[in-house]
Amino acid sequence: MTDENNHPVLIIGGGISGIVCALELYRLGVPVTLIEKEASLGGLAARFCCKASEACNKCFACVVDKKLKEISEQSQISQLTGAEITGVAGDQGSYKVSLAKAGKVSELEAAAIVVAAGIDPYEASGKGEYGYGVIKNVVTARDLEEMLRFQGKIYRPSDGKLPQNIAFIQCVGSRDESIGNLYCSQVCCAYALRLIRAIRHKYPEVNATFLYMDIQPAGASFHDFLNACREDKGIRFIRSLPSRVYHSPVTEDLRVRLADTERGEVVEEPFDMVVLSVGMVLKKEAKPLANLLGLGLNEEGFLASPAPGNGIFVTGACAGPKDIDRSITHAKSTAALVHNYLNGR
Amino acid sequence: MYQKVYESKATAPAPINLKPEVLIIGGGIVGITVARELAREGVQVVIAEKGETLGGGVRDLHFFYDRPAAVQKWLGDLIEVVEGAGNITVLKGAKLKRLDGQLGRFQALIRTSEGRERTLSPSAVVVATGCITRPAEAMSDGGRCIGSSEMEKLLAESRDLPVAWKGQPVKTVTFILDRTDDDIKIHTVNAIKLAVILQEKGCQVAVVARDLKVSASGMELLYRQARGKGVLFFKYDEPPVLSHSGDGISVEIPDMTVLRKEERETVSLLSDLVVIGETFAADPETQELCRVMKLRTGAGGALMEDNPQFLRVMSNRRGIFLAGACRFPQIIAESLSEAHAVVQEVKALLHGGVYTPVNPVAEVDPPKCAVCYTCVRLCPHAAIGVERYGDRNVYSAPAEKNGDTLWQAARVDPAACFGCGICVAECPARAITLYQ
Repeated sequence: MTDENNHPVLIIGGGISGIVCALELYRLGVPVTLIEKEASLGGLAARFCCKASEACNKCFACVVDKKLKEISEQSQISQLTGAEITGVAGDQGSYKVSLAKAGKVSELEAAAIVVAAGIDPYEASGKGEYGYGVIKNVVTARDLEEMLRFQGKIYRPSDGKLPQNIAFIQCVGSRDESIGNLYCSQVCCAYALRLIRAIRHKYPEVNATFLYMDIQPAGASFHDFLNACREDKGIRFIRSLPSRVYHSPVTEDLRVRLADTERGEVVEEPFDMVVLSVGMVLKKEAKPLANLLGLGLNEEGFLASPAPGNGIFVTGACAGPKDIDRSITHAKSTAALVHNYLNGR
Repeated sequence: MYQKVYESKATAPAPINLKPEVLIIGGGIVGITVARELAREGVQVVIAEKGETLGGGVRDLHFFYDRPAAVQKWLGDLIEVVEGAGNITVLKGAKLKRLDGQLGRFQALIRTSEGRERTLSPSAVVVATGCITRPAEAMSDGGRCIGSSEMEKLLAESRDLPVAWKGQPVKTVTFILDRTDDDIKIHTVNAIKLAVILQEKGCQVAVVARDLKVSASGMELLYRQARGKGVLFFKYDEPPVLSHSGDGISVEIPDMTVLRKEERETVSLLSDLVVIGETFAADPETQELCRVMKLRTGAGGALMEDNPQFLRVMSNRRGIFLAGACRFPQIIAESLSEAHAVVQEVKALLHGGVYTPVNPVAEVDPPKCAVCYTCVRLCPHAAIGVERYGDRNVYSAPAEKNGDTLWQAARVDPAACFGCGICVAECPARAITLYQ
């Protein structure tokens, strides 16, 4: 790198992928500026809770906390929170980026740009048949997770009681032609099963029914984990995605209409609570950003990999669904590629 | 009751110089990718490949599921780059016989198939030995029941001609998934990828699976494409029954798409060929390698990180990294992402040319050591050895093997110590302290 071009690498997005990419580039002595639109770093992954049961279930939530702590102690990485990109000019390793922070516009030069814009959870009200947003006791897995993380307990939103019988509906917003999401979000099966195991560990009296299409594996120890789930008497696996959730306006109890292949009939089963395993969609704000940077979308609707050699990189789940583990690995590998690009100029 | 665990000490352990030299064990796709990337950064790389060719398991692949390129051409180009690079040495028929020393001072003894021996002193070692595949045993005689890699080969060789097996035309093919390896998505990816090609060549293909593992970029679309082309998909809870039927194999499976049990019929798929993906297993030679390198293995003998969450791609020994199928079989894109993560870790380690121990580091007080080897055996990071000293209390270079001055004591290598404190807790003589 020549001196006159010792501009920092600009990382857009302060979620787990952006944080790891910044930390890794810093380890290689590359100056970095990390931009986050929210008031604090961490993004979506920082809102997950530990999903250990008797043993660690490899959810990687603790790794996010550790990386957040690492970057908060790292004063040499410039971190701009509450800042948004408003314009990009220049090209090929010498970008001029306009930033808006608290109403003030400033300009920043960047040697390379890493987009780690992240994802949004699928907006569950889009699947009207499940009644999210209308029926009180239909929640998303994220809502349930935040109950556990921030309130330390699970409860029915209607009456605050512990639900005894919970249905987990998979593939909400994934693998679904009716809403145009023709991809698997890759994380929800393992995610929901870990959540079930963690809840069953904390409340052994709670029973869970897992309603799914195909169970998607997640990494090296998934086989043993899945076997443990299958052996757990409190977890019922039914290969069927329900057609509708009904509720009683008096008791707020729920009935779920599904095809039960075990019994060979369509049934309406009562549940205290329904949890929707919402999939991933590209973060809303990533689209205008992609326009500014001249990035396209791939056929699944995530950010396409930019042409190599122009100093723009895409990392983490905004490039396609990834769990925390794979987002971190991807961010690390992106850091190596960025460094290589800077050296090769 | 908590005791004060750390002692503070004025003198920090000395920094260790690291030369940009890396040894990679395994010349598969992960090993050669790591080699190419590190060599670009000016690192001297040695690849020790036990076989006579580079490429590993990817040599059995002919088609990507997500792009039209030919796998062997892509692999060949990559191998050419690696074999032509000035700062990459490829040793074929090579086996690691010994690995002594620690980070920055590794001494690796490699024996090649011609019986030649080479000693290397790499700063870091990357283990990318891959895994082995075993043909799945579906039927006793095995005829007409082939592995996924044989099907790839058949299709690659048939080019534009109709598919034939042992001179006979192939009209119907059934893929059976999930008899083993229910946590590996490679089988689903390969089956759907090959099903699309076969269907396009005029065959009727069925895929029978417990769970279709489409959790890879683009797979749901490929699955839809396959159904659009007429590939039949059946899901089972109980594995299908196979029997010989005329010249082919009959695969019997209940049709679970019919809800009412009494109306559910058993479908019989008459198949010219049945394809069952090979089972992935840890390489027995990797087991031997782990003994030589003092590396930890996990379930089924696969290599395992010291801490799969916090210390991803890092082994239980500092300076030794793992990636690819020796850890867990994944699709190519995922293995390559791991390979690049290893590149990043190695670059970060070598950056600046020195390693300064940062953790709390254990230290043995030599006069108190009874040389019982408890700490040596218990250390999960192979950081402790027994060294000879010239005299009690004298922490100097090991003395000559001279009866008068020989004194032994355990010594923790600060570069290799993770500061876990196991040795401190277990030392019967209370001779070990953690220093911050």
